Amino acid sequence: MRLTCPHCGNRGIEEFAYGGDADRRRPDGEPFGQAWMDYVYLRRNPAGAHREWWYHASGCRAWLVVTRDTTTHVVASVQEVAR
Amino acid sequence: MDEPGIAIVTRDRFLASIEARRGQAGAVAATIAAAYGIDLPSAGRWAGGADIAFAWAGPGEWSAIADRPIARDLAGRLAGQAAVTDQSDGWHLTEVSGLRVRDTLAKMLPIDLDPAALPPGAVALTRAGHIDLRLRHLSAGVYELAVFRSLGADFAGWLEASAAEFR
Amino acid sequence: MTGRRLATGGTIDRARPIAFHFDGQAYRGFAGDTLASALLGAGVALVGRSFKYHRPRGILSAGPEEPNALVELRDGARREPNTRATTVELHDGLVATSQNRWPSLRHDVMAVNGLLSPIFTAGFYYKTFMWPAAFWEKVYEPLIRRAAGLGRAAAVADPDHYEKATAFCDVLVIGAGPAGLDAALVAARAGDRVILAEQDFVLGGRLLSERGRDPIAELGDLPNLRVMTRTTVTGVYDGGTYAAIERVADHLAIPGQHQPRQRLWRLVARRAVLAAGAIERPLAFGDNDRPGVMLAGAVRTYVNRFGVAPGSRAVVFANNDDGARTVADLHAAGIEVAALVDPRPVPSAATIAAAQAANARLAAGVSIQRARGRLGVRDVELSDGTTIACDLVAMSGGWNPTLHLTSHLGGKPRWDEKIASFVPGGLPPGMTVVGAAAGDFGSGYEIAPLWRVRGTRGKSFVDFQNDVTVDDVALAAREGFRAVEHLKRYTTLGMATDQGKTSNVTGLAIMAELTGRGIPATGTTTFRPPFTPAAIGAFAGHHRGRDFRPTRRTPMHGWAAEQGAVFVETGLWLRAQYFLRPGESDWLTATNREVRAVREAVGLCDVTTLGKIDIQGADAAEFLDRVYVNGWKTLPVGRCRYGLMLREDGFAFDDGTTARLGPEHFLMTTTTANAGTVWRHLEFCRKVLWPDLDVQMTSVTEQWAQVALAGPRAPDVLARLTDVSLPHMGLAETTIMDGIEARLFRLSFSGERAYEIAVPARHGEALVRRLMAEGDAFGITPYGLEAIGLLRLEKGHVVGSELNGQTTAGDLGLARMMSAKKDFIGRVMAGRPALVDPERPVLVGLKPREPGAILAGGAHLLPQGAVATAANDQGYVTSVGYSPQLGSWIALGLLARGRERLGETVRAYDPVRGRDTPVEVVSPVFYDPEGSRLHG
Ligand SMILES: [Zn+2]
Repeated sequence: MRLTCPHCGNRGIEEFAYGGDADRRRPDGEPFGQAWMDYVYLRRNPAGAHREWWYHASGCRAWLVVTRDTTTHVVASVQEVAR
Repeated sequence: MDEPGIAIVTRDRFLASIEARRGQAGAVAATIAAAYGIDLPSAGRWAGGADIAFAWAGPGEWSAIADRPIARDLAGRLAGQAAVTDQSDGWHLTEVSGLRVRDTLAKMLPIDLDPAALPPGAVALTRAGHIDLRLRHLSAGVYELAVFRSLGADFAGWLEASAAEFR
Repeated sequence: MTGRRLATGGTIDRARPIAFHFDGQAYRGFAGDTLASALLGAGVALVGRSFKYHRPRGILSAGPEEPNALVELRDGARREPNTRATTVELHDGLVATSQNRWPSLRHDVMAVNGLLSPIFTAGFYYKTFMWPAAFWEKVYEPLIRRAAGLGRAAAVADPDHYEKATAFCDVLVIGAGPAGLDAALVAARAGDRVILAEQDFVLGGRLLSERGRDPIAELGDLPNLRVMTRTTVTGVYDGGTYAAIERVADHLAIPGQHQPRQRLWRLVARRAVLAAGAIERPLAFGDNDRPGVMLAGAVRTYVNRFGVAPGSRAVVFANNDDGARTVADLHAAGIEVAALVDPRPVPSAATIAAAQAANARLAAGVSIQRARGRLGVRDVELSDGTTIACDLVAMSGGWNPTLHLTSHLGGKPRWDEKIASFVPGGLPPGMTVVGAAAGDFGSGYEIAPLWRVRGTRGKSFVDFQNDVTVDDVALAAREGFRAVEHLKRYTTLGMATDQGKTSNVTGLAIMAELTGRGIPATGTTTFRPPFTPAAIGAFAGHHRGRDFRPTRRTPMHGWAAEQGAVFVETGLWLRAQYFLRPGESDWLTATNREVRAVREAVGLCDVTTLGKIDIQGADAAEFLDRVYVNGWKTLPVGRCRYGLMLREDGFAFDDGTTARLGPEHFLMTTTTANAGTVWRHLEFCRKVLWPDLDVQMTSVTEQWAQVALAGPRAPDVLARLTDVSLPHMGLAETTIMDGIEARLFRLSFSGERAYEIAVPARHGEALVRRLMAEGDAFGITPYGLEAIGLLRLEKGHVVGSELNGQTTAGDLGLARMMSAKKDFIGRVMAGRPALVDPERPVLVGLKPREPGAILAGGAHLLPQGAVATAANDQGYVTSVGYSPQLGSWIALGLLARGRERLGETVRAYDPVRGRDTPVEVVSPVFYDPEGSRLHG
């Protein structure tokens, strides 16, 4: 698989580290409950489009949001996490 | 004399990392331009010369590469604008060139080395096997490779093995 | 000696004879030969024995699809089994040996398997060797291994080296036959960067094999066209990535100096053109595996490309118009064609004309029932009852497009009735298929499908390499293994090293015929990488032996080696485990001496490998507050603090000291093992979770060499270098040794007065040498990881064995560190019921009741008198060591309600080592619990 980093260009997957579902949000300020359990443990596992974090570990060290089809590995978009 | 198949030279340079504070990238660029007469390079580029150069090192980050100690001077000028860290001892620097330099590097690096894709003036942050590596294309066919100091000996051995058939 | 070599023709260089050996016998071929063509040219028809039945086998094909002619190539350490003679480039000194025969190719004792064939039919493994289970390893498997098998791997390490490399292009053209050459030229002339990969050692593909075709159009000297011969594209991967094996030196007896034997290429291509041609199908008739029965296209290759007559009297058997072409080529080469056997009742005009021109009998509407002759074909019996003498049968059951690479990403081939073959279905993104690989066999190609000849005697082979016959397929059908995946596994059809290149489609079609379902309904064949077998060495490349993974060395590595250090890998780092003095031979003696030196005098240790992260920014303290359980805003500049990080799930993650260098400047240390993971975690925190914080981070692990100086005389040694004096947990930035920048920390994990001194890495070695010299008078002693482990164990400091991902701050006795005044990573989840359960095992010290008893990590903690069951398990031992100060083995462990049980005796139960040791539950701080030595 290859990802096109918005900073570094098209690179092999070995330069990146997977960061999981990019749509989960840390339930800041909430007490222990289902929201926390979901945030820490629950992952969607869609067959199809999936937004996920990738870290360009061996490159520019940006965290990226990648939209990937889990059934084909076709990457629809790669964007930097808003800073 | 004919150009050698491959030439490998170890370099000792003074390095510093620069990371702009939040929202201060523009100010950092202005300070560098005023102090050194160099425009901070954009993604994938480096700028400057043999005495002092700045290489892009990630969003909002640069490496300064100089022939003299540079970190203290930079830290002073960029106080409040950027975090500056001396890295002069953190990296093992190698300069490689020669007719077969790209054939050699193709055995180690997973990036497109064609001058159309990576011309002189380009920077690539990448890896050689499991060794993170920063490459600068200095001038046509002359590359500077930087790896962490602790991996220097190992990297040098692999580079030598990759170059051996072109010696 | 000319054997069956034709006087003229072909692309071989008759002026350059090449000497080689096969089964110990000397032969001669010519430059441009393959081993197969050279053997045929020398009149060698019998080249191997089959896998199961040990049937005599000859050369079937002229390409990588070869199922029969597998040989051991080279000898000694370079011996390579199962090499296809049809793809081996002949070179001077080539040595090849037939395989799977004993004692010799002509007399193979195991051929008796052929007589026992009823037990070797499909599913024989499952049926015959069912029970008793114990027999499998001891009796059945060795028996089968000896009786059925392939070549022998070399018994010693491969002396050659291999490489990996990467190349990029706009267009990758796979195959340099007519279609591939065209595609490469068009793309290159349009200015694209092109790689043309060809598995053969010359370009041309079928152009080389067909009469009247110019072998090669001039490619010219296009700088943007890179031609890679001897290079097989073996796999397609996501994102336009292709794997290819370049056989750099396989055509040499020994690779040139520094030359790799093979190179594994990763080719990254925007587009790919698959022009891999097609592979011919055998026909299934009785004893169709006799040496001398060959694929018709291969016969043409041997005649036209290699100038070899594979026989002197041929019968051509084809269900398509390739029969006519073969007859014509044989005739043109002066080889007698006895008959053209065409199962079609009304052969095409071209077929009739070819037979007439060659003066061959045309047997229309007829099939070969059986080939006869044991070590080589002698005659064939036809379905019309006639027998024709011949020593060569050229058969063609039609062609299969070489579409393997199109299905590597899941593309399903589609059945095309017109050519009676599968053609590429869904394609990998960016790939197009051209020429025969796309099913384009030219306008004149007509075929009447024939998969098996009925009513034959003898075995009709479908899969030659795995010895799967028509009867095996029929047996699978009868027994209900009708799905294509079941057929494959039950009969092993297509599961040999050739991946069924000549057999899959035929097997599938026979199953379709037997079940009456039609081919598309029966299934399709899919393929996985690699297209042809690949050497494991090529996948390792440079990274084997010592270079398996990179090694990190500290600037003091050379000094440590001089001091007798025995190194151990911790992550990628090499660290001194202990230092052997002259006369010492074991780790325990050395470690005890090192520990004693620290407790009684002063020790020196390289701690460079600890992760060091420089953290700056207006929000640096706030950031630390959020990632550590404890607070940082109150830490004064010039002071250090011990910090503990949790994971978001509430379990302990990493620990270390962090120093405040300035109001907005911190220096964090992490454990050596977690340095990379902590870095990535902090990057996630600052860039994803809290992008609004002003925080900058740089790793300075490599910039600073760091040395710990520990023991009662440590202050004396330090005083020789600097007059800076530090309070406990103090920090100073200063210069030492004539102006070398240095950071001094007063930190202790050993419970002794201790310092850490950091200097820029290039000065690391000078620093230790200076400290050793200055410390000599005080008995300074280098110590290693074993001593560190024991020193911290005596003080109850937790390390990786306790920070094992399953412990909480509370378990480790660090609950008090968790600030209630702020949020931090892991705070909420650390408070969930399961993690604050009072029954959780918590950190305790353990000491054997009997002096001298040895403890071991991993032992389970059981109550006295309890049965050793999981239900009675109350925890386990995490760290052990022999304390020279206490004269006893001591341990840390995790024990349920442990803090309430001090003084109680439990058992360290260690069934692995057969120990069951009563131990006393004690405080984890074994040594100097008051901390008097630290401040004294
Ligand atoms: Zn990047």
